[in-house]
Amino acid sequence: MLKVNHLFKSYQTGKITYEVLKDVCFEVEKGEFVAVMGASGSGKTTMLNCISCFHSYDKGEITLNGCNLSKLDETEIAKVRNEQLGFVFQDFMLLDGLTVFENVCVPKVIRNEDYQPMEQKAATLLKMFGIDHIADKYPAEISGGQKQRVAVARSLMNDPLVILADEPTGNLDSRSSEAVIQAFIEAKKKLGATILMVTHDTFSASYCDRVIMMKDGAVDCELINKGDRKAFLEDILIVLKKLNGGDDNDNA
Amino acid sequence: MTMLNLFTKLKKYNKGNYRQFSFCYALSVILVSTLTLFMLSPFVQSRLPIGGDSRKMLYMVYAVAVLGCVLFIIYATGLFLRFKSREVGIFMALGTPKRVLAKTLTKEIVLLILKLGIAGIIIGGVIAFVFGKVYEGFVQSATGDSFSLPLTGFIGSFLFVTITVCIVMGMAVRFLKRANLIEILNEERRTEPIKKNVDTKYLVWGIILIAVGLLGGLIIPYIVSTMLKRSLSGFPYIFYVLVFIGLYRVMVYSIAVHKKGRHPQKYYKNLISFGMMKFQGISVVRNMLIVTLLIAGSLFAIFFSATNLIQGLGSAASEANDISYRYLGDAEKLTQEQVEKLAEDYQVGIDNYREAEFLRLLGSGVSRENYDKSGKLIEEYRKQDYIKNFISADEFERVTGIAVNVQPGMYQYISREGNNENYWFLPDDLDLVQNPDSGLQKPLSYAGTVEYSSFFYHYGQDGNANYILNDEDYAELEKGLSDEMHMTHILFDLSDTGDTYGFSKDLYARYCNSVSDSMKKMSAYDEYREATDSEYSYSELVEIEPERLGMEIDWKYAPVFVPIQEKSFVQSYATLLLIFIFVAIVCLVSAGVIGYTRSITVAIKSKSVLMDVKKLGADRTYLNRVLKEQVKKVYVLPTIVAVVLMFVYYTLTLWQNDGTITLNEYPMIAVNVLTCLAVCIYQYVLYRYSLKKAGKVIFEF
Repeated sequence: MLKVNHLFKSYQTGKITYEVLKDVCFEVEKGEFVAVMGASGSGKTTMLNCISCFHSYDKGEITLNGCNLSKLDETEIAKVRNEQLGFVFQDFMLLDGLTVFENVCVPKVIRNEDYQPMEQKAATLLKMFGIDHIADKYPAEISGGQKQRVAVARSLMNDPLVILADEPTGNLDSRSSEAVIQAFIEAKKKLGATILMVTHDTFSASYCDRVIMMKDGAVDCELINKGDRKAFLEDILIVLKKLNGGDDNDNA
Repeated sequence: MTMLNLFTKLKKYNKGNYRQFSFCYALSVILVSTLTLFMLSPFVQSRLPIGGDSRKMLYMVYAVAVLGCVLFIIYATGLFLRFKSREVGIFMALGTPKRVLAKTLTKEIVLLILKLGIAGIIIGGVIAFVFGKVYEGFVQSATGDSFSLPLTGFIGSFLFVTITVCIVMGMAVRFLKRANLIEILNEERRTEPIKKNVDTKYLVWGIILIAVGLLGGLIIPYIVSTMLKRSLSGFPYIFYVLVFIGLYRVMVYSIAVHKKGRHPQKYYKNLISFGMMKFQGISVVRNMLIVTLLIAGSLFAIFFSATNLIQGLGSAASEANDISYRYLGDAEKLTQEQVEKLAEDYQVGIDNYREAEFLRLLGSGVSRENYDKSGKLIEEYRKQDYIKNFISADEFERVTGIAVNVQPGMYQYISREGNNENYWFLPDDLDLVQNPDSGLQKPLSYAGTVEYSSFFYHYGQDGNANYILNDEDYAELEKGLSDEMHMTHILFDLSDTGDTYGFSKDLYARYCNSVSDSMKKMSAYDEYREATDSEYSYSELVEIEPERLGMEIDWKYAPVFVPIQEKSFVQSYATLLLIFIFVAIVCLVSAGVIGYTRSITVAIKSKSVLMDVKKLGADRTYLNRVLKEQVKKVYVLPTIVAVVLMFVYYTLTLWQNDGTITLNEYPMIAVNVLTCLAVCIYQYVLYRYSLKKAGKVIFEF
C-alpha cells in the first residue's frame, strides 16, 4: 500500500547541511496499524511530512498504491491528500468556526461533493466513534479526547488508503489517549483502515501491529506485535532503552 | 541599555506594523489639517454663502470626515496595540513592572505620534496651500484678497492631534491595565466570535429599525409640520440612532448566520470561509460598519454638491427674462437709452425692453415664526404685516403677456415654477391692504396664483411677496402714495450676439452705483417692521461691491442677470463644491484604507487555518475561493448597504422638501445613480487590489 524507498532528506542552514533522513526504507501493508517511534530529532515527523507531501525530499521514492508521489504537481498532490490520505494531527486542527459535524464533513466539502451522502457518512462515523451526541457542538466546547476522535472521524471521511497520524495522543491524558487509539482500532477493524502513526507514546504504540524504530534519520529496527500487547509493550520499552543509550525517558 | 532602547531595537524588527500605524495616523492628520486649514481660511470663509442649509450641511459633512478619521485612528491603534501585546506580555512575564512598561510604551507612542502629527500638519498645510492657490486662480478675486493659511486652521489641526494623542494614550493605558498575563500574551491570536444568539428575527428587527429610523427621521417631521403644524425640533435626529442600530444588526447577521435553508449544497460550499469569518466576527462587523458610514458620508457630500449645482444651473435656465432689476422711487434709474447705449458698446442687442410699475403697500398677513411650549406652531394674524408689492392686472398682462382676470376686491399671488407652498407663508394669508401714506384700506380676497419667475424674489414671502390687483383697486390705492413707495421693475432679453457677459458685468456695476440707500437692504428687511419693532435686526446696510458681481450677497434688490448667473454660478458655488468633494474624497480614502487594512488582517489571521485546510487536501483554487469570500465580506455588504441606504435617504429628502419629486429633481437623481455606480466601481477596484495583496500574504510568504 505505502512504500518508502531509500528516502533522503537534508536541511541547509548557511553553509551547514543537516542530514535528517538517511536512506529510509519501509512498507505499510493494507489494513496494517503501524507506529513510528524514536527519540526527538530522529526524523520521524520529517518522514511523515515527506509522505504527506508537506515537504520535498532529496532522493528516494514514496509510492502510494503504486503511484509515485514525487512526480505529482501541486493540484495532484492536493487531490491525493484529500482523497487518498487521511490526517490526524497532535493539535487536532479542527476549524473553530465549524461544529463537530461540519468539521467531519470538511474533506468532502473541499471537493464540493453532494451533500446528502456526505451527511450520511459523517453521521455514521460520529456514531461509530461515540461522538454523535456532540455533533452540534463547537471545538471549544468539547474535550481534547473528543476533539481527536472528531479528527479521526474526519480523516476517514474520504475512505483514504492510509491515515497519517502525527503524535495523535501527544496532547491528551492517558484515558483520552486510549479512547483515540480505540478509535483507530475500530477504524482498522470495521473499515479496514491502514494507519501510520508517529508517536512517543509506548502505550499507544503497543496497540499497533508493528513498530518502526528510528534513530538518527534511519530505520533502526522493526518490532512485530505477536498478539500479546503487554509483551509487545515490554519489547518496545527495551528497544527504546537501548536506543536512548540506557536511559528510558519515555512517557509510557 | 534602557527599556526604551529595547523597544527601539524591537521596532526595527517589526517595521511593517509600525509602518501601518504610522501611515494610518499620518494620513488622518494630513486629511483633517488640509480640510481645516482650507475651510477656515478667510479667503474661503468670505466666499461661503451666509447662513442657510449649505453651511450647516458643510459643517455636518466636515464633522463626518473628522469622525471618520478619528475612528480610523482608533482602529489603527487597536491593531498596533494588539501586535504589541506579545512583546509587552513577555516583558511582564519576565517581571517588568507595569509602571515601567506603561512609561516606556507611552513615551514611545507619544514620540511617534507627535512626529507624525507635526509632519501631517506640515504636509496638510502644503496641500491646503497648493489647493487654495489653485482655487484662488479659479475664483479670480476682484477685491484683491488672496488665499492664505489661517492661524485658526493650525490651532484646529493641533487640537485634532492633541485629541487623538489623548485617545491613543487612553487606549494604551486601558490595554496595560489588564491583569491577565496569558490574555495579553495571546492577544495577537485572540479570536473575536459573535456570542449573541442571532436568528432571522434579529435580522428582521434590524431591517425594521433601519426603515423606522429613515422614515421617522424624514417623514414624521414632514407630516407633523405640514399637517399638525408643529415642530419636533431636534427630536427626529433620535431616529437616526435606530438606523445605526439596525445597520449593526444586519452586519452581525451577515457574519454570524449561515443556514442550510433551501440550498444545502451552497451552504456547504461556503462552509469553511463562513466558519473562519465568524471567528473574527466582532472586529469584522465593526469594520464593516465604519466603512458603511464613511461611504454613506462621501455619497451624501457628492449628492449634496450635485443637487446644488443642478439646482443653481436650473434656476438660471428657468428665468423668464435675461435681465431683471428693480428701482425704488427715490433711486436715480438708468434710462432705457443709457442701457441701449451700453449694449451697443458690447455689440449686444436688447429685445423686449419693458418697465413694470408696482405699488408698495402695507398688507395684512399671518406671522408663523415660533412654536409654543407643546411644539405647536404659533399663528398670529397681523392686520399690518409687511410692505408688499402690487401690480395692476393690465400692467401685468402688458409686461408678461399672460392674461389674468382679477375682479374688484380680489387679488392673485405671483409665484414661480417649481416653488412649492410651505406652511410659513400661504398665498391667501393677505386679506387687507392699506396705502401707508393716505391710510386708505381695502379688504381683499385670494383669487389664485399666477407663475412668472421674474416677479418672484427670494422666497416670495412677507416683504418680497408680489400680488396682482384689479385695475380699479390699483388706481384707488395709488392715490396719495409717495414716490418712494413706487417700484419700477425693468425686464429685457439679450440677443445671442456680442459680449453679453461683458455687458452684463458693466450693467451690474452701473446698477449698483445707481441704487438709493433705501435699496441697500437685506432680503428680510421691511421698513414697516423696522418702524414698529424696537429690536429690529435687519436694518444694517448691505455693502454692495460693483466689481464682485454680488451674486452671493444677501441683498433684497439683487438683480437677476442670466449671463452672469450662468458664468459665475460655478464660481459662486465653487467653494462649497470643492469642500464637499474634498470631504467625499477624505471619506472614500479612509473607507478604502480601512477596507484594505482589514483585508490584509483577514489574510494574516486566516493564514494558519488555510494552511490547515491545505493539509486536508484543499488546492490553491479552493484556498483562493475561501480567501475571496472573506475579503468580499469586507467590501460587498458595506458598499451595497451604504449606496442603497444613502440613495433612498437622499431621494426621500428631495421628496420631503415639498412632498413630491419635481421635474428638475430627476437629473439630480440620475447624477446620484451615476455617483453610486462610480463608488461601486471604486470599491470593486479596491477589492481586487486587496484580494491580490491578501493572496500574496497567504501564498508568497
